[in-house]
Formats: sequence, C-alpha cells, structure tokens
Amino acid sequence: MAATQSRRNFLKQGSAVMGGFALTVLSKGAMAQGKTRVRFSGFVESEEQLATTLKVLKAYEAKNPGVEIVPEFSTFRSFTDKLATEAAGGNAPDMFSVNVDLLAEYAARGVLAPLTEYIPDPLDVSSYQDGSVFSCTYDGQMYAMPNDAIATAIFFNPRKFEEVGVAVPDKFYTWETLQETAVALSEAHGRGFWGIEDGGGNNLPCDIFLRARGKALFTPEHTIGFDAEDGAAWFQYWEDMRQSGGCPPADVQAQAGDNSASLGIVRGRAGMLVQTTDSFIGIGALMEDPLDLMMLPNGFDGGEMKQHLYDYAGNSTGIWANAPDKALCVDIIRFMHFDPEGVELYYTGSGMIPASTEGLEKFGTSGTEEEKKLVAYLRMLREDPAPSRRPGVGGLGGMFRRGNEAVAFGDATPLEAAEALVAEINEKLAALKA
Amino acid sequence: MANAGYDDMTSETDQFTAQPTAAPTSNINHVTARSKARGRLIMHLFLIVFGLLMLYPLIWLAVSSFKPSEIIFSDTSIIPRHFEWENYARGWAGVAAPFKIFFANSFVIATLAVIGNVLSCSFVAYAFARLDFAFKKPLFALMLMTIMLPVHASLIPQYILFNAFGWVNTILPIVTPKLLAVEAFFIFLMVQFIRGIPRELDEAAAIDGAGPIRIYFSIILPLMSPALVTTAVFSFLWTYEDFLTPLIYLTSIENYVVPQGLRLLQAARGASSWGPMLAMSLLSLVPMFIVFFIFQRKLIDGIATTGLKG
Amino acid sequence: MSTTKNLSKRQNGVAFLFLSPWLVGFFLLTLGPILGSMYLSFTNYDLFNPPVWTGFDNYRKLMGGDPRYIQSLKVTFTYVLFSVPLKLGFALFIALILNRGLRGLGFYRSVFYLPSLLGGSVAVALMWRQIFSYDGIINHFLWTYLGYDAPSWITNPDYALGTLVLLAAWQFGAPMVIFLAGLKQIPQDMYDAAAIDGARPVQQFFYVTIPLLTPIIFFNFVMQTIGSFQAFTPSYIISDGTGGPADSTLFYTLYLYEQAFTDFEMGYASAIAWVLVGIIAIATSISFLSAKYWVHYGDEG
Repeated sequence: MAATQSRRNFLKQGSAVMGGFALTVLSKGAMAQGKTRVRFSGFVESEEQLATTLKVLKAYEAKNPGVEIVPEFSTFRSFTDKLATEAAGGNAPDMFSVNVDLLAEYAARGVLAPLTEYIPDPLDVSSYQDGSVFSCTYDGQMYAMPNDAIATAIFFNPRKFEEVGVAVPDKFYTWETLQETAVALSEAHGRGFWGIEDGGGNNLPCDIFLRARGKALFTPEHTIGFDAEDGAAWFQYWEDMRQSGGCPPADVQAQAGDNSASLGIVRGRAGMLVQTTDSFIGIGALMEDPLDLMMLPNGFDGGEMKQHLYDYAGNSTGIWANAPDKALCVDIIRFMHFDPEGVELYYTGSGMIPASTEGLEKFGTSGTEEEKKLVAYLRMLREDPAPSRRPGVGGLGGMFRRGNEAVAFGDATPLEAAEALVAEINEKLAALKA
Repeated sequence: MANAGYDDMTSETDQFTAQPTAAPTSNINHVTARSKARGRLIMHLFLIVFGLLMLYPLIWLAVSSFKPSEIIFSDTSIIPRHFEWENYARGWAGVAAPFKIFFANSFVIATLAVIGNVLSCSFVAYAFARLDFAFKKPLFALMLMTIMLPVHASLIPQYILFNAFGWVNTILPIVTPKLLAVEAFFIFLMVQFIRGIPRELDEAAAIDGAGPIRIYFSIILPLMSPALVTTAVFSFLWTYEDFLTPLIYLTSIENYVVPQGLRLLQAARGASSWGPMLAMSLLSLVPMFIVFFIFQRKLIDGIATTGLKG
Repeated sequence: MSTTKNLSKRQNGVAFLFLSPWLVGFFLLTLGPILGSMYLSFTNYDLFNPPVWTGFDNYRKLMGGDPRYIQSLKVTFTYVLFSVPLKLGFALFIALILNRGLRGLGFYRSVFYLPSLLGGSVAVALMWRQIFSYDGIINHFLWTYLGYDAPSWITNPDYALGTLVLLAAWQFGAPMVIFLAGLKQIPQDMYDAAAIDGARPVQQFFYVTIPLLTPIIFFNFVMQTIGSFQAFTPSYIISDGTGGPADSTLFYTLYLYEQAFTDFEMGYASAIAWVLVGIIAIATSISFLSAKYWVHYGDEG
C-alpha cells in the first residue's frame, strides 16, 4: 500500500520535474498521511536475513496500523557511509544496525541513545549471553539490542585433510600445532595450495591469541589491553607461518580482500580459514566441497590449555539519540526480540543464531545441517566461555591488515608494525574520550 | 540514410571499380582496390581480435550468471555445465522489491538527466563560447573549479543543504542539478565543440539581422549535434550507473535505482545471492548497451544532416 | 575575436539569460557546499559534534609529513602520469580506426565501449581478479606453457597500481566517443579542399584532422587529468576500499574518504580535498596556458 503510494509519488516527482516545476518542493510526506513514520536502516548480511527482517517489520505494521516502517537497507560499507552523512546532516534514521566496533564510535559521539531506561522492561536481556550484552555496552550502558550470536572459528575443508592423510587437530590444540598442521597440508598438496589463509591481518583471532598470553585487545574499561611486544608476537607468528609455507605469500593472500568469492578456501587452494561464524553458511554455499568448523588454538606448547573463545553480537539494533519517538522504536525492537510471533518471523530461515539461550536451543534443533553445525559450535563454546570481547575502535580491521602486510611485504619488522598499531589504537581511543 | 555511416572511402572504391575507363588505368585501379580490400580485411581481423580481448570479462560475466553459486568461483571453465535460469528468476523477483521497480526508477531519473543536461548545458556553453560579457573569464574558471573538489569533501555540506530543502528521498537532489547545468564537464565539452564551428556562419546570420538567440537555435544548435548526442549518451549512462548520490538521497527501498538494487543482492554472508547478483549485473547492462547502440547510430547519421556545406 | 566587429560589443543581457541556469545552479546548489567544505578544512570536525575552529592546524598536519598522505600523493601522481596518456592514446587510435568506412562499425564501436559501461561495478572487480590474480588466466598461461610461477599481479605492491592503469586504459570508451564526435564535426569540405590541393591521406591527417581535432584533444586531456587526480572507484572496488596491498593503490581521494568516513576526521579530510583542488587548478592552468600554442579553434579563423 505504502509502496504503491510512494511509487506514484516518485513518478509524480518525475513528471513534475519534466513539467518544469523543478523548484517546487514536493513533499515526501505524502506517503505518511496520518501515520507515524519510522525509518529503519541497516546493513544486510545475507539475502535471507533481509527477507526475514522485512517480514517481521511488515507484521509489526499489520498489528499497528498507525505505524509505517520505512526499510532502508544496503551493504555494510555503503550503509556506514550513508549513516555518517545522515547523522552529520541531523537526519539519521530512527533506528539502525551497528556492529560491536561501530557501537563504541557512535555511542561515544552521542549518536546512539542509551537503552538503560528500557531494561529490563520491556527489553529483558537476562537470558542473553554475556558476550552479546557486552558487545552492546559502552561506558556502563547498553546502547543496542544484540540481534545474533557469532564467534570466531577456523573453517576447514575436511576433504583436503583426508586426501593427503593429515589429521584434523583435536578439540584443544596449540598455536604450534596449528602451524605444523598447516605446513603439512601445504607440503602434501604441492604448488599453489596452502594449509591456512593468513590470519595475521585479522583482529579477531588476535584477541584469542592474546588471551592465551593473558591479555586481550580491549579491557572492560575501554582501554587497550595489550602492548607492542604482544602485538609483535602475533605478527611474528604469521611471519613464521609464511616463511614455513603454511600460509600463502603476501601477494597471494592480499587477493582475498574481504570478499568471500576470492577466498583461497572457496577456490580450492587453502585448507583452513579464520572467520566469524556468520560467514559459515555463505562461504559454504560457494563451495562444492564440504565445509566444517573448529575452535582456534587455546594455548601454547608447554602452557596451560584453557578455552579462550566466546560468542558475541555480530549485529545489533540501536536507536538514534534524536529519534522523535524512541518508545515506538523500543516497541519495534521488543516485537522482534521478545514477542513469540515476531521472534519466529525474524529468526526462522534468517541464518542468524539468536543471542538468547532459549533462542539458540529453539533454532538449533529446527535449522539446516549447516545451522546445526553452527549451533553445536556455539554450544561447545558456552560450556566454558571466556570473558567476551568489548567494543573497540572503528577501523581496527584496516589497522591490523596494514600491519600484517607491512611485515609480509618486508616493509617493517613485527615489532615496528606492532608499535604503529598500538600507537594508532591509542590515538583513536584518545579521540573518543576527548 | 542508413548508409550514411559508411564514409567516403568505401564509396570512393566503389566508384573506381564501377567505372572502368582505359585499360591501363583500370588495371592500376584493380590493384588499388584489391590491396584496399586486403587492408580492410586486416583491419577487420584486428578489430575482432581486439574486440574479443575487450569482451573476455563480459563473456565471463555472462557465463557465470548461468552457473549455480557453488561453482561460480571454483569452476573456471567458460562453458557452463547447464544453464541455471533460476539466477535470473530469483534476482528479478528480488527480496525487498521486484527488480523492475529499480529499473523503472533508474529510467525516470536517467531520462530527466538527459533532458536537463542537453538543454541547460547547451545554453550555458553557447554563452561561454560565443557571447561577450562581463566577468567571462573568471566565471569560466569558477565553473571549471566546481569539478575540482572531490565529491566526498562536499557530500556532507551538500546533504545538509538538500535536507534543509526537504529534498531527501525525492529525485530532486539528482535531477535538479542537471536542469541547472551543474555538470561543468558537459558545458566545457560543448564550448569546445562550438568553438570548432567557424564564426563566419554566425557573422553571415548576424548580417541577415539574426540576434544571438536566433543564431543559437538556427545555427549553433544544429551544428553541434555530435556534442549534444554525446552529452545525451553520457548523461544517461553516468546517471544510470551512479551509486553514491542515490545511496545518500534515495533512502527507502521502493525508491532505489538499479545500482542500489544490485548492492542488496551483494550481501557478503548470504548463502546464495552471488548467482542472482551476477545475473542482474548482466541484465543491468542491457539498457545501457541499447542506449549506447542507438545513440552511436545517431552520432554517425548526424554528420549527414549537419555536414557543413560551407 | 577582434575581427568580429559587430559581435564584439558586450551582450550582457542576452549572455546572462543564456547563463542563467548555471548561475542559479551555482548560487543555489554548488556554492554553499563548496564554501562549507572550505570552512570545514579549518576545523576539527568528527561529523557528529559541531566543528571546532582550529585555523591552519589541518594544513600544518598535512605539510608535516603524514606518511600515508605522502604515499597517496605518490600513488596518484604515478597513476595520472601513466593512465592519462595511455588511455587517451588508445582512445584516439581506436577512434581514428573506427572513423573509417568499415562495415559493421556500429557493432565494433559498441563492443569497444562495453568495458566502459561496466564502470565501477562489482562485476569489474571480480573479472579483473579472474585475470590478474595468482590463479588467474595470465598466470595459468605462464605456468602451463612457460613453467613460470608468477606473482599475483593485482595484489603485489610492485604491480598492483600497474593493473589499475591497465584497467583505466581498458575503459577508454568515454574519450573515444568524444573523439569520434569531434571527428564527425570536421567538415568534409576541409578534406575536399585539401584533396584538391593535392594532399595525400597522411598529409590530410596531419594538416586537417589533427589541427581541427585539437579542441577536443585538449578537452579530453584536461578532463582525463582532472578525473585521474580524483580517481577513486578503481582502487575502491579492486582493493575492497583498502588501497592495499601495503597502501600501493592508496589513491589521494581514497585516503581522503578513509579519513572522513572511517576515521571521522572530516576537518582533516576537507583540508586534504582543498590541497587537491590546488594541485588540479595548477595542472589545469598549465594546460590552458599551453593551449595557446597548440589548440586551434574554428572561431579564430
């Protein structure tokens, strides 16, 4: 209904402009006659997720005839550009998606409204995993509602292990074992194949690596949780991996970018990949070979073995600090997260694993084979979860990638790269506090 | 008219072969004709090989758009094992809105852009190229300066302005600038073309009592048709493929244009949107190709109608 | 201009009538954002809090040798230096061939324009990788037939920018079309007159075609130079917006964009933008000054 009306509106604008009335300001409100209009903006992680999100919003509209929800979705990067422009122009959408690192940036700069007064009523997060709550918390307040639970994992192609008789590591294994396994795979498969893709430019596995050293990327107080020496050990680990042939040389690795189509594992020239679980189904769909997942290493040779992985929110929904009708936005979130009908519509077939414990159990039993693998993995992590990651700073991925590339292409030593990384993170944290 | 595209080299050759005169001359002409024929053959061969080189990526796109997602990137063969029409069906149906809506929106906007640019830029270009007025040089420099500032730098001030006008989520931020000759590229292009037209023509008309307005409509406009056609083509193509401006200003999904629709299919973590995305990418090229093909014919025909008779 | 006595008197009234769309557009739509951006370049502005005036701080930071800024300058100048002549040379060469009487010209013309139609779409990025990556077609050939284990051209810091220059050359359609339009505008009687004077085709080319095409060559040169200084899309799509590997394709505007929209340093980004305006203005002025010596306009006849 609204769509046809605004389509007519669109064409009307067109003909009006053609008629030479270009400067008459045509009201965009024609479609909102007598209705409260809520703009819901976000990034789409998958087609399936977009479909279920639209479905649940439609259902909310059906139940609340006075409300019109305008969906505004795009890919992650174009969404962030658009949101920044709109927020700067004082015209941000009423509610929008954020991820854990954007959350800190937007919360600290006063773009997101704190949700404290709506917790626990109507937003009762007591059954949500700590990790998902932490990733929406900044400076002691919750700024968004977690939509899903994700975790870092190693994806692997079991066929590439079987073909050459290399054993998949046990549940608990060390970073040294990972390197040995990767090198064994590379050697057995020969030219153009590597055991694992270079993970040195990825901040997520680095957090797990740091935990085995008793550190972390960020502290709960939103300060940096490691020093240059720790960072250097991380970059050195991957430099050794490259030197020993366990992962591809720098230029081949750089090809992967952040595009799942160019990943070595998709193209059949890598056996393992460090990734977050929300990519599992998408990457698996691009492969003819099967895809499986396992934990990252949980310690070093001779050290203590302890579970260092955790799950957290991959995307969450927040409310603009200047949204005129926050209570309405909260009610829409409530419908998506707590109303049985809304939950059913929002999650079924979305590929997202809910952040609450019941949600996990419910969708873990009804999903596809791949979804069941994911749920089994998250369940395993929740047996003895490590303290979850905290919001960091924006652009972290870029900093790690540059540092790792500088080492890989021989432009910097691991220590130099780590020093630059630490300095840059501190600069960003300082900018947020200012 | 249809043959107007082939310029005089062909007809020249035909004339020679068609009019055998004295034996010796005719012999020479035959040799010339044969070597010209060989020359043409080589030229065709070159163009075909070169064309294939240019086309390879497009062929890859076409072939891939018929493959199921799981083998698009692992199977590099150029011949699909079977044709997966479902990519097209699913892409066209869309998740958020049917793709035809995006096409319709794109057409409306691109058509308005063509009209706007051709009209407004040719007015302004005529003034800069032919008329004499106060502050001409500084104004021309100012106009060129407007394209030197990178778009990302003025994006936010511009958004604040257009938002104050109440233009967000309407087509006005995209179309109004074209009607108001904001694209200096086309003005400068037309200035160059107009300046290539000999002034004697204007002068002759002026002696006959024509003022600048009549000169513009009766002399300049017809003679600059190659530039107008070029402007029309590029206005259409560049507006049609622009992503940044629609991204910022066309916010609700039912107002999206084609590039935004493609981005919706490009969700990084989806299970199966690669096939539909490639299928719709290919489909989105079709209107551009048609527009280009038609306009380039116009470009060639143009010469027959506007050819300066001196 | 002095030869045209009766047209040379000021025609302010009618001229400003013709100029009016642009004047309205300039004052209503363009001037504000330009001034706004200039103002921001003197501020510290994180997009979400009001800008704070900091005088020349941003410019001082630029001049103070921000290493990634300097890298972006190097990358951009290299790109301009190679891509502009290559692309224009290509475009002119093909336009000249296509301007001859061959059957099926419309088809060739369209085929050669196809790559430019693809513009900055995802498809281009995917295809370019398909060709120049480690397991791409070129390396497949090199390894199978020559036994040479070549690097990944597209993501090797030594070659990555080179593949972007090639991409620019491959998308030569726009200047080609403009050259073609220019060639079409050359009056046939110029050739006829030259032929009567006994000029052979080669002489006609150098004494008729090239001189009469100079306004268009000049236009394409100026516009391609400006466009290349502002190049953004090639690196954005090929490197996934990172300017990598190791900042080897960090275009000037990509760094600007990163500062503005990833790091929320809009003030600094605006200063970066205005330095680029300066650079382009200088390059354009030099082109215009040189034009006197080599560009021939019909209206100067």
